[in-house]
Order: sequence, then structure tokens, then C-alpha cells
Amino acid sequence: MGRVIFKETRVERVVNVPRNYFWNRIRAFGEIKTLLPETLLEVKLPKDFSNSIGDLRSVYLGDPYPGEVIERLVGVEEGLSLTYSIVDKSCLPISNYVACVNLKDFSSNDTAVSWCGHFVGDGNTEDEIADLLEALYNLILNNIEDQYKKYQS
Amino acid sequence: MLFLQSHVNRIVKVPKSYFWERLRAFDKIQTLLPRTIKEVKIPDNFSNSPGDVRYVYLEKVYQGEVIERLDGFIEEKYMSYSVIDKSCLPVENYVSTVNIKQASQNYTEVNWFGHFKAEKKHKDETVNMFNFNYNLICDNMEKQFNDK
Repeated sequence: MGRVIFKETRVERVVNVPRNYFWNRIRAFGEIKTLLPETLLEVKLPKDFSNSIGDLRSVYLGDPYPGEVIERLVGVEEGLSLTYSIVDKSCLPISNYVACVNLKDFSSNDTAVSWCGHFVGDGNTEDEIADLLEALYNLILNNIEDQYKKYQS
Repeated sequence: MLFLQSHVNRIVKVPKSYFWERLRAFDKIQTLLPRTIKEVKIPDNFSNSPGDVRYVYLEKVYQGEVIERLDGFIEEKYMSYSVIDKSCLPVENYVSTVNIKQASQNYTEVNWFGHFKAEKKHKDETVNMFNFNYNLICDNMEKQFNDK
């Protein structure tokens, strides 16, 4: 067993939107820019994108890690869980990133979310990346709440 | 390299709870592939939780170490795991998901996916290898359930 730097980022919180709404927002794999409008510069989708398992999205980030991240939708348990991963060498100094988003009803209008990302660090920046990912997960959750409020009003 | 996918969809003749318990025991993979896996090493801090890893050692066809990580699960429904790169397998970015649902009281419907990248020359052998192993696990589970 060699030395590999395994790292985890986890956000667990109650989000003030119904589970069905939350699910529809994250299940729209090609629409990630709507959840991070000020963070993502651009998202490109292949012509054959059909929001199916195995599909890819190319996400473009600005500072502090500018460049491309190719993400792949790898698994879905309808309404309850979504798994995606980063493929190839991205602009992030990590490898083998896989994230799972698990949902549970907390109440009729609230969803208990567990967003967990696992990756292998480079030995220098994994703590910084873990903090960055945690901030992004929370920002997505905040934006879903804000957008749901506007959607209702 | 090509983006490739293995997929097995079948009915396994064991109850869903049995299938789940066997699958969910992430450190016990050798019991499901006793003739394929030479050894499995588990870190001291292993707790069968997301993020935990198992070190699988193969000796047939591809010899060497495969580090697999449990990435997530939904109880009795769904599990995902991945291979950390630079394994003895000719693939990269391998992530697998297993969806199960009750087909009848004693039967389970299984959808086992593997997503990965491989060189074009390895396309057929890698896709077939994963499909073969998913089916072998399902076959062994049926056999072991009947022998129980």
C-alpha cells in the first residue's frame, strides 16, 4: 500500500427548498451555470448531450484555477442521489475526483443534502482545494434557495 | 483515449437485502471474486464509509494493485465506487455505480455501470472484462446464496 493523499470535502445541511425542486436543478447536468452564474465563465456541452448517464460537460473556471474541467455524469438514483466525476487532467491540481449528492426529505419544503467529494491531492494544495470545493457546494445550495424564492414570488 | 462504458442489467436470483449486504461489505470483495482476486488489503482505519479504500491484488491477465474507493451509497438502492489511477488495469478515470431494486421477493434487478477511459486498442477487452466481472459477481452471489 503506497502513499496516496486521499481527501474528502463534505457539506451536510438542510436546504430550504422541496426535494423535488432540488433534484430537478442538480439533475439538469447541462445547466450547472445557472447554479454558479458568477463562478463559471462558460459551460460547453457536446452536440450529442442528452443528460444521460455517461454524458459530459466542460466547465470553464476563472481565478484562482483558470481553465477547463470536464465532468461526467456517472450515476443516478432517481430523486435521491447523483454521482459525477472529473475526467482527464483539469485545471485543478487534483485527480480522481468523484462527488455524490444525496438527498432526503427533511420536511415538505426542506431537503437534507449531503454533498461529498473525494479526490487525490498533489501533496501541496489539497487543503486549499477542499476549502474551495466546500465553498462551491455551499454556494450552489445558497443559489438554489435564492432562486427558489424568486421562482415562488 | 476513448470514453467507454460497461453495463450489465440483469435479474439476480437473491433477495435485495442479501444482494445489498454482500455489495455493501466493501472490504469483503474477495468473497465475491474468490478466483479472480489474489488478496485484498484494508487500511487500519477502514470503517466501510464513503471515502474508505480497499487495495485489491490481481494475478490473472492484469497483475498488480488496484486501489478502489467507496464514493457513496443510498441504503439498499445505490452504491458508487472508483479506481484510483495508475492501477494495473489499462484504464483511467474508472467510476462504477450499482443500482438495485426488488424484482420480486427473492429476485433483484441490478444495473451495474462502469465508466472509464482506455486506449482504442484496449476498447473491447476492457469493456468485456468489466462486464464479465460484474456478471461473475452476480453469478457468485446466486451460488453462495443457494449454498447458504
